Amino acid sequence: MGSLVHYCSALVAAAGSIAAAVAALCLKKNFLLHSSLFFGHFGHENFKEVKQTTPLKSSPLHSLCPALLGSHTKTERNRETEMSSKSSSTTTMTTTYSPSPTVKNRQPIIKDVDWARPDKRGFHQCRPAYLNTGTVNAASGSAYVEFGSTKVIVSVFGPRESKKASMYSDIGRLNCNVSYTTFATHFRGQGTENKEISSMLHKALEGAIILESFPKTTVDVFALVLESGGSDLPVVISCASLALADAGIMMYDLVTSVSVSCLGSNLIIDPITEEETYQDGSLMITFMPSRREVTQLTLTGEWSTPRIHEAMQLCMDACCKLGEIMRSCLKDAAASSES
Amino acid sequence: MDHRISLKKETEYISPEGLRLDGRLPSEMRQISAEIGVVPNADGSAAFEMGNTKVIAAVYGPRKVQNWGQQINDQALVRCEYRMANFSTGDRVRRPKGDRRTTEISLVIRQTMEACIMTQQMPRTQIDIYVQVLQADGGTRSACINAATLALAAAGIPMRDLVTSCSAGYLNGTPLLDLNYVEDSAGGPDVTLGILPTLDRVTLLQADSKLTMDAFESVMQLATEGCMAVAGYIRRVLREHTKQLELRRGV
Amino acid sequence: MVGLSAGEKHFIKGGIDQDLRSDGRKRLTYRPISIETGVIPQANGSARLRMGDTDVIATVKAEIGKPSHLHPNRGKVAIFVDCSAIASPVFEGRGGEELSTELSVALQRCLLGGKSGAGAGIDLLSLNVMEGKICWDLYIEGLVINADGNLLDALGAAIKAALSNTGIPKVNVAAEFSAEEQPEVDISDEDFLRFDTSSVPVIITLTKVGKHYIVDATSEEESHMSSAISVSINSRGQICGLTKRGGAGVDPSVVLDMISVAKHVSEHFIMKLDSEISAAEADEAGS
Repeated sequence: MGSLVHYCSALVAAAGSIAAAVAALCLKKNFLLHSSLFFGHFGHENFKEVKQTTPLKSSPLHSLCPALLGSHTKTERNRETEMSSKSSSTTTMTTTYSPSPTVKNRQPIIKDVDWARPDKRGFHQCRPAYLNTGTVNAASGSAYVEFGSTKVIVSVFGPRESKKASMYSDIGRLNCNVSYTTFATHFRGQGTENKEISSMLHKALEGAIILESFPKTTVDVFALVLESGGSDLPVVISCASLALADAGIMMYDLVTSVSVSCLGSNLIIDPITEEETYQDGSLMITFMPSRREVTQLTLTGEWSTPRIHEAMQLCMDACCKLGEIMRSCLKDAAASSES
Repeated sequence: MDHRISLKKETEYISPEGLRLDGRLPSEMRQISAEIGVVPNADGSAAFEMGNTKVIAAVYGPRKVQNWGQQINDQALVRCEYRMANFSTGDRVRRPKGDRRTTEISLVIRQTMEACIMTQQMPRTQIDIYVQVLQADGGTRSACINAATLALAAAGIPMRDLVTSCSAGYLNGTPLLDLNYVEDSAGGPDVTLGILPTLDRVTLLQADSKLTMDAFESVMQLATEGCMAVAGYIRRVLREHTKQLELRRGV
Repeated sequence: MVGLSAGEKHFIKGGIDQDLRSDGRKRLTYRPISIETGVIPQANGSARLRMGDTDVIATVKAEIGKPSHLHPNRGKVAIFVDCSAIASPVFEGRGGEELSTELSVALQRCLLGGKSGAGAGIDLLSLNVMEGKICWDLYIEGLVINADGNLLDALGAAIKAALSNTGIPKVNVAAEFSAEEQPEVDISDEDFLRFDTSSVPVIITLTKVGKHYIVDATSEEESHMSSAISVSINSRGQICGLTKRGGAGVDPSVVLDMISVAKHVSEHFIMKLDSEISAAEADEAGS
């Protein structure tokens, strides 16, 4: 079934020394891949041991309700252990719902160097991620991605006949549609299509897809943000490229995306909603790691050129690592379908 | 904005001296001005101003019919889209595209212009008329038709005659020419007239509210005079434009 | 949008390679700009800007509003762009919506700064009338009359001109009011506050054609682009926003190079724009 990749990456900003370790435990046929990647802070902290995982008997349940995996407000470390214990007890688990108090504490805008992020992460540390492909059976390809509490599901249909076929076109069309569920945010939303994000997704993907490979037809990408927990757009983009790969759409490279927020003098990677609310500036990059090409780049707030350079470097490093994880997720999915 | 609301109750639209709120005589039109060729991309375009009402019309075509199903084999397809800019009115309203008023005015303009275009000469083609209101201060319908006429003429589309339009109303027992927004929203009768000046035909007549037959005749008379005056101005503008074109070609 | 033959494309590309574009410009030269302010008297500020054949109108309307509880001491600014069908038949009906949204989002990103308000070209604190109760809501609206490329730069410049043309009425707040009620306000008809636009950034779009970058691309040249980067730069040389357009990927080092070129171009452009705006203002005052 699905492969569970759990990663937690911390980036090395200045030194650039990449201490990476991918550890995977493949267990049985119906395997569960549970790897954690930790990259040392500025090179001196070593990466963590891989948590052991027990084989999962009922992975269908696991993949059917992946939202269950996302705990509410647990810290990442707790979550990590919780996840490994949970995997053994999923079958018998009777979760009682206890609403976590979502107190809107107004965080002062912190300008000094040492302050903790609300979820205790390091500044250059991404949220734990869970990636899974093939979640929607009806679609030609689909992916479910979870970054902390941001949960996104993307399904890809096509290449199929263009509905709005007005003119002959020797290249294919890409149609992107991003919508939020009504319960995605704290405030009950409308659940309508988000045009801005849709067009951003389109622009991020169109450069990576080999549109010439499916003339006269359309590929539809439908993304649904189940829960919005910050950095929605980067997660949607990465998830969509995973779904496209799962659908077998020809691409030059996987598209990965990461954003950084600028809070005072700090650059923090992969911000959550709370941090995004107080950010002074943000930079989002969508990157093709193997080709080392930027397909999309947006920036808000006031930046100096060296700072842009620094932020871009940070994002690109994270993108490369995310790319590796996405690749391994796809490989695992392929391996499990073969066997 | 506030004084407009208070006006609605009991207002004298005509002062004892016989002048209107903006200082015009009852049979006086607002200042009109027109400019041809404001949209370089279009085949023909014109801006038309009547006092504070300001519209731009652009004509694209005759060109290939974009939607196969709409093609007419023995004549041209005339389409029209009317749009108001969000900033065109005093209050900022973000109105959805294609509301009833917009659709109605689009239809009125289309039918009026279609009647004077020699559509049989251009079978299986499409002519698009786009009208954009930049400022609305009463009489947008008339201004749009006048601008569309100019734009069609500038695009070199064969027409039987120019269509010119002007509105007139009846307030405080006096027929008034070319109502502005305040007079228009007073709730009195408002007659929009479109004529073919040379052929001496009426192509558009819209009136709301009630009006006695006698009063209607005098209002109609006034509106016709207004249309004729607009026609005179439009002809002048077109001649001027043609002269300039001649100069540029070095004829 | 523009259908070009292979020969025409080759000609345009060749010209760019030789630093002589088809209208005689160099790669980093703008088309002549003309600005007219106060074109829409019903708005608080307005400007019409022509850049070659590109023609846009920007208006600013100020309305009394209530500040959000998150930022009680700030006003609100919203930017909308409308692509009129008169500019091109493809904008008919809902056809222009996609481009309109794209332009609105890009302008918001370039002019309004980060979420906390840092780096915003428009000082939101100056729109505050009474903390937590009353503020000014600015509605900035752009209308595209004729599209011949480089709409974003033109709209950005038009908005800057419209803002410098904007007079915000002085507001007197009634002295006594209860805590829950909205206090009464008296908007002055005569006294206006001018807007300080010195920190409003300009937007420079660099279009990458082949190996070279060009500014102020016409729609013919735009149809040729592989990618373009719009950078918004203020007079202090700080980057206030950046948007990439066009799907093709570019190397990160190219992005940084384009930013530095844009920065260089912006210095001249800001000077030129400022002098055009003051000339237009003088013109309006004179007439």
